Amino acid sequence: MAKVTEGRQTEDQLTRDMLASTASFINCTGGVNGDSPTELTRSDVDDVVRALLGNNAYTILDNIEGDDKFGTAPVRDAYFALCHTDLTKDMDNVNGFIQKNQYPSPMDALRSEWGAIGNLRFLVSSIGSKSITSSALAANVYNIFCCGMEAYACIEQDGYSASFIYRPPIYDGPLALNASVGYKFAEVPRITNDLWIMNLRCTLA
Amino acid sequence: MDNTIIQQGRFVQTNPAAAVTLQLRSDLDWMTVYNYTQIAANAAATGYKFYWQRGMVNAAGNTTGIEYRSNAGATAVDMTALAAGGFTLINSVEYATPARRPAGGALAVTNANPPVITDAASDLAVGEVVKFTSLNAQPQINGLDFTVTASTPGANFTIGNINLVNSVASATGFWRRVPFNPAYYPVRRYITFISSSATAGRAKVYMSVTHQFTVGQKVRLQLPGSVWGAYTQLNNVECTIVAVNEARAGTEPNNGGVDNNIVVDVDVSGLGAWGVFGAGNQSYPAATTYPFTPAQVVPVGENTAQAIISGVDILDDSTINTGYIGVLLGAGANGPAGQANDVIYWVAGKSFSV
Repeated sequence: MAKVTEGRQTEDQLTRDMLASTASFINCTGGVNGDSPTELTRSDVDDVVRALLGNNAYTILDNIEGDDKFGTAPVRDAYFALCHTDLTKDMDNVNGFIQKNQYPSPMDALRSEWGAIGNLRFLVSSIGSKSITSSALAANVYNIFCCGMEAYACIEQDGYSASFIYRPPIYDGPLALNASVGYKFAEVPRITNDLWIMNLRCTLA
Repeated sequence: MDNTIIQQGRFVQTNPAAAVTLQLRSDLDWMTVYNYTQIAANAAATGYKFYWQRGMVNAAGNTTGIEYRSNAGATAVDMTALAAGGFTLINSVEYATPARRPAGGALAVTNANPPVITDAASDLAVGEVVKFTSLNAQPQINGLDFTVTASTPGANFTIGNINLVNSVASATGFWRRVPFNPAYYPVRRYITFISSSATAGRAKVYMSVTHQFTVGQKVRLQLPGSVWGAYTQLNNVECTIVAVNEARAGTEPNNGGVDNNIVVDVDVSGLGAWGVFGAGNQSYPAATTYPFTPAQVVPVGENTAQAIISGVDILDDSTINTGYIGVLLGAGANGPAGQANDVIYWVAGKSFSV
């Protein structure tokens, strides 16, 4: 199973690296940590949402209608914001943050989702993008890829994505001593419309 | 045996000699290098052959190797363990970020065109990329990457792709190497200056790091926020590159070599001079504007018509993974990459079992 996961994870890492290399970015500037970019704030989220809306990017997820349940709040239709798990604590402190357990119907939340701020729904991963010691004060810079529908694509050049290949020992030789496991793919991640994706860069509070 | 891969090759060392990077996609577990030139010359006190395999690490934790070195009379060959400058494995995507320098943070950056950075311990070569952090008086360039355009090791180096005249010189701060380009080409770059081209109706856009754009590529200019004055109008403007590296003029960045700019089909003559930022008309947003979002050139695609007219490949904009794994060979009389003009042969292998 490890190899299967590794293949899929490599696909994700390559897509991540492509977005970090080429996508437009906006620095968070609304925070107070003295760095550049600053920590994530509501005004920065509003800036990136406004930029995506201005560029006519379609949201990916539908709104979640409000319901008569304590502690819940309706969720707007949203762009995806793909980011690192290190940011979860900072997100909790952003004005207007809605935890996914506060959604009127939590089953509508994705497994990797952390919550929503404005028109962004944040999906976190331990392999999310960060640029080591790259801020003005040499802190790690976290890249939050805020993307609209069809902003980027993964082109499968041979018509398949990562394929898991297992060869039992019988194929190794007359003595059937060694099995082999691996994965391969010929795949290119590509931004299809640069206006529909923004990298919102921030540091930790 | 399955899973065993052997590769071989040769190269000729440059003059002056420099460390050589070999990109070996299949990776390597061992490597042997022969300095054919020095062997043929029967040179004294020189490395003839070098061997490395995984696990060879010296007490300092550095990857090293074994050197087969001729003695002073060139009458015998002795084996010796390399202390440094031997074999270093490279992964251009996943690597330990180099430390900030200088250790005490006493770094002087002039407010000039080009800015000169004084560091008695600098060892940079022209073309390398550095990132500045914690500059006390020029925070506006903190976190930005710059190509080194001149260098005097042990004294200073120059970042000639920005004009910092009328800013306040820094007395403290740090720099660090940025050893590799981002993984994917084409790469987004930081804008440091925009002016009108010598050809009417076109703009000349300078960038902090040596750009790799080509004529015919389409790019988008990003100047977000309010710090860019009249040039904010260029935010989100998509344009085509019609020329590259046009000769500098006036107050444009002076890198003393090939001018690092692209010429695009946008008329900026009505936007006034670029260098009007902050006190004293600076050529980059003033320290007081920090923090802000740097202006960027973002690759978009290819203008096929322009590419055909200019006789260049219409696929120059292709997204390419430029990441690699391989090995860095140290240069010198006792380094596997040899001395100037040496002919080097090598064999490298990936073993079935390590």
